[in-house]
Amino acid sequence: MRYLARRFVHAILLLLAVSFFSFALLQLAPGDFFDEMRLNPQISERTVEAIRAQYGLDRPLPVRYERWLGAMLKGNLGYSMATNSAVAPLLRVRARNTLLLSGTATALAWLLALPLGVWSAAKRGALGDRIGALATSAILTIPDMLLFLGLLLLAARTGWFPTGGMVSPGIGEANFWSRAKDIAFHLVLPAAGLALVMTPVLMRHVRAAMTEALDSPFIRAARGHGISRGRVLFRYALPAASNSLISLLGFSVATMLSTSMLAEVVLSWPGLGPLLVESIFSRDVYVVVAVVMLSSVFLVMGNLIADLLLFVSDPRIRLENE
Amino acid sequence: MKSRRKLWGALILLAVFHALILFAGFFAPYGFAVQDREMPFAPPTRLHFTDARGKVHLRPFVYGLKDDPANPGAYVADTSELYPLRFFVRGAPYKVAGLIESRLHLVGVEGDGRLFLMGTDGYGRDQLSRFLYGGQISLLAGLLAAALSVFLGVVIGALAGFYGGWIDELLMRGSEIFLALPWLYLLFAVRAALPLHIAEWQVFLLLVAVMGLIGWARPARMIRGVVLSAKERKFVLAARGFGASDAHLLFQHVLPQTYGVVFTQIALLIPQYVLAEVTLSFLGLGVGEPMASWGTLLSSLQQYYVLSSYWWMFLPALLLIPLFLGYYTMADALQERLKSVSL
Amino acid sequence: MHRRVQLIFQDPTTALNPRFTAEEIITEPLVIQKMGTKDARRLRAQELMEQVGLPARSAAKRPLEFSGGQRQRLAIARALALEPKLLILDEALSSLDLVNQQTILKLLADLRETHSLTYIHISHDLRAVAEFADDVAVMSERRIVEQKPAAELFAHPEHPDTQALFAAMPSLESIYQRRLA
Repeated sequence: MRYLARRFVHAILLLLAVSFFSFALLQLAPGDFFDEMRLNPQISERTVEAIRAQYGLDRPLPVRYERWLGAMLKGNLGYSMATNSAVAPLLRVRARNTLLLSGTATALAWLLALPLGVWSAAKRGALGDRIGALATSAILTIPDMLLFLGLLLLAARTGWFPTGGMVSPGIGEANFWSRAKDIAFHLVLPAAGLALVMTPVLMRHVRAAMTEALDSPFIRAARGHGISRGRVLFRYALPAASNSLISLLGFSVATMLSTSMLAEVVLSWPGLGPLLVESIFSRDVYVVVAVVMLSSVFLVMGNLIADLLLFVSDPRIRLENE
Repeated sequence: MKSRRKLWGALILLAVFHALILFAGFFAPYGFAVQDREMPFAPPTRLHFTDARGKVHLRPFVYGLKDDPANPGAYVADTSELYPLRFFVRGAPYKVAGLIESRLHLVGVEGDGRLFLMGTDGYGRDQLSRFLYGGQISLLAGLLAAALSVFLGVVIGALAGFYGGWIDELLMRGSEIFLALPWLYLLFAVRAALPLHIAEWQVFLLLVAVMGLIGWARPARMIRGVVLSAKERKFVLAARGFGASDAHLLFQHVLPQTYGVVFTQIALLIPQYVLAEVTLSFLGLGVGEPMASWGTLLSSLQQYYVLSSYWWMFLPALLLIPLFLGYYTMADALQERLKSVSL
Repeated sequence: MHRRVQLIFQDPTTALNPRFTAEEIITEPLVIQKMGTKDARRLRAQELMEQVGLPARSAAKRPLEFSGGQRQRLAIARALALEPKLLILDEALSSLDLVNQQTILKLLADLRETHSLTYIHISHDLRAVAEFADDVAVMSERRIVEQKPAAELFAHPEHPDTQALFAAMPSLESIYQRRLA
């Protein structure tokens, strides 16, 4: 229990450090939104200053950090100058969309990679394993961008799937099931693409972890005892490899957002990725910082969950820390 | 040994690729900014040896293109005149690696002929030339950034592992912060902090600097691991017994143990960083027009009509595959060798 | 300090950097102490190799190309480079086979004469101790429980731990006798 508390505190401290860094980033942005305003002759200098004061932009640095952090923790993520709305609700929607996409894709990727990796480790050297290795290498060398553009082309040419967006126009009025089906339909392409990108890496690591477990002496002893291959694989080797696999899960979650960013942009999925890109172009600094902070929160939380899983599954860690 | 052959195969592939890009001026028929307004989105030029009358020519030639009356925007070959290829021609001047000037080009076409082996883009610019020149930007960015990241990783990882104590604590906590942010988001965020429109070479340098500076964390941790175990080796202890300075221990004994990890990391990071630069430029946040970067070459594909009508615009992306194959194979072979050595 | 005391480790394989050549290993102390020119150091390496019984032409070989016994000789040559007065042998013979143990022991005895060396030999091998030691200190539970000139110790062990030690090590003859009985 203590261990978990420690990890939790560690995560909080980490996020605090990240927030500091994000805030510094905020300050670094040369020229703020108000430069544009100042160029507009219809707005007087005094109005600009008044608005700046309203945002507290004229106070010293530590004060601003405090206020900013305080506001963030209360759920006020600032104001998006470009879209003229509060950042938090905007982020909520986009974050939900991103999680929907990358969560689905990650789940899909694991559903593919785990059995395939275990199977190819069990049948090491056989034809199936070698084909698998070739296939993973092949997919790995294809740049993500090409994959996504290819999928887009496929969608455009065949018309089987929508070429972008998350919902069809005018679906808002339909009932829940129709809407859900509509979203699912839009989800297929980006999720499939992302899963395709993630699977080879995961599969390789799963295979490596299983291979290491299968090579250990106690597995050979188990076989020597006459325990069947299937039982050995699932009751002995898989648990032994679970440490590495859970760490892999943590890594997979940590890189989930970075990986999905390009997919979201190319396939027009309204997630955090495109939001970040748009806000960079519109110099909407509050959005940029909020997105960065949020993505960091996801990552750290993902790692924390992996730590928790590891704690629960590996008795050694529990013993070490009790 | 199998991994040896793989390694050499990969190295040769990479060497050829890099040579083509280094000498882009020589291999490219045109400069990267040369526009041919009359030929936007022209398909790849076909080479012929036999002309319309059935006569076989020794030298390959190309036909001119004229507008297809049936298909607006498309082209059809104009068989009334043929333009033979010439090799080792004198053309527009260029600089190799920015230093040596030359006017020698590998191929050229006589007269009014055009040689667009990979087609043209919306401004009538030869895609092959832009691909080669684009490589100079994208590939160089990847190489420099990877070198920077690994260099920082070695310095920080070695210091942390060798000296331990509070230095180790401090540096490793620092690395955790960098690892707590999804790196692509971090890259974009830092890019956001920089002015949108700055001079090209500044963009390039900043890009390299940013990518290099945020990517040190993972290599540093790996190097630190190696250093931690290396410094406990008995022969390091023995050298200490002879009065060796820390510098001697580090450079003579400890760091050589890290070479395997270092090279593997570099081989893995280069494609990652090239892709990062391509992504940034693809989205318009990297180098700007008219500079060619592989990303800018691909960015027009974001428009539906380009995506579905002009297949040759995909070619730059396809050509990236052998490059990545080379680096990943090299990384694989290196990892195999590392494993067999440490056993 | 480094020039007066040196240490020989138990396992010569891990005590030598596998990437260095024999010559580099032997001359490393000289390089560290910045002694001599490159040529002078090379000559010294040849000298030392001769003294420990290693062929001069193996100067360019790497540790893995030597046998266990030869590696220990290499380690000894390296230790002698700075002309120490005291050599600490930390179970230096334990990882060698019996025949090698004898030869290396003989080498060490010879070197003791030629270089006027003093050894502190940490060992479990009572026979080696009996054959070569001038003074013996017996340790138990991290403390020295008895320390005497060798002849005296073997003749009259006083401390119960020492006696237990001797009792645990019968001669080959007596073992055989017991089996026959």
